[in-house]
Amino acid sequence: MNSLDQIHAIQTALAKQQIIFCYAGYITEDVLLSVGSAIKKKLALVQADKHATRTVFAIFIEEAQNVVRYSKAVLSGGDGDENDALRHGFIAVGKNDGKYFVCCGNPVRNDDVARLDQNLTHIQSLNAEELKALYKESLRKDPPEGSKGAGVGFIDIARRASGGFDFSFEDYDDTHAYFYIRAYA
Amino acid sequence: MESIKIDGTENSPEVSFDFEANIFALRGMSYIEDVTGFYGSLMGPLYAHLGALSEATVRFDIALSYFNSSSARVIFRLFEKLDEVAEAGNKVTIQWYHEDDEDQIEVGEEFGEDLEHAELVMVGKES
Repeated sequence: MNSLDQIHAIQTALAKQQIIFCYAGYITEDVLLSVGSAIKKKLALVQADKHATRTVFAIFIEEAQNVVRYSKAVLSGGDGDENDALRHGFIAVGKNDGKYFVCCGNPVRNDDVARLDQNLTHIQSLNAEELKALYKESLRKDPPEGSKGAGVGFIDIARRASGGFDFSFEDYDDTHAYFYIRAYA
Repeated sequence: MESIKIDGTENSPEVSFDFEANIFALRGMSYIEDVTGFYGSLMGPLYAHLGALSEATVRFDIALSYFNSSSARVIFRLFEKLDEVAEAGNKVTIQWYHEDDEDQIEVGEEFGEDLEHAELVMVGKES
């Protein structure tokens, strides 16, 4: 198979997952702004309703800013070699069974996997009232020292994702796992 | 104190603080990543001014179509501060513009339910 075949295979695979928009590469504030406005335009084109568009946009911002914050927090304390790896991210917007989803992926340190897993499993187990209480409690508190974006952002995603969210950690390299979170608007 | 006027951008709100009239407003979008950098220098003078008021009438308009969770922390704190200002003997009204969106209505009401002294007015598209 030549390389364009392989690229086409990626494209076809994305379409099979009903992904209507996809970005892979560095995630910076600039990228976040442009991708955010591209997502809004795309959703306007497919005539998504206003509320769905708002929700998808909000989830996208929280997920992508988590990646930016996480890489900043880790890199400010570590060496520069991880730079390229940690600022890399994957963003996809799609539609399954009539519901829009936003999926974001990024490499995280193996050391952070257990904490993230525990935090997200806990958030997933809460009902709307409990999420609201945790949200307000987190807003009252200062962000934890050296916060790696595992604070109020995930709670906000959980609250907006009326179709729930799932997450996973996939093998990446010796010291990192690839973390995915997918939230349904 | 001189008024503060800052134009909004794609991800930061229009800011209008009129310290003479005690009418303040945040409008537009707020999802800058560095919220501390943006709001830090604004909230300092605002809180100092509000803290020194007595028997004043204060209005704060919040018309944000979207704000991220870091901005939510700033706005939540602002509600707490405005409630303190009202408790100190000022008449404080917060006008929450929600564009009839269910999530914006919900978050305004949630922030408002802790208010004991300041008044929250919900403003939709038609009003």
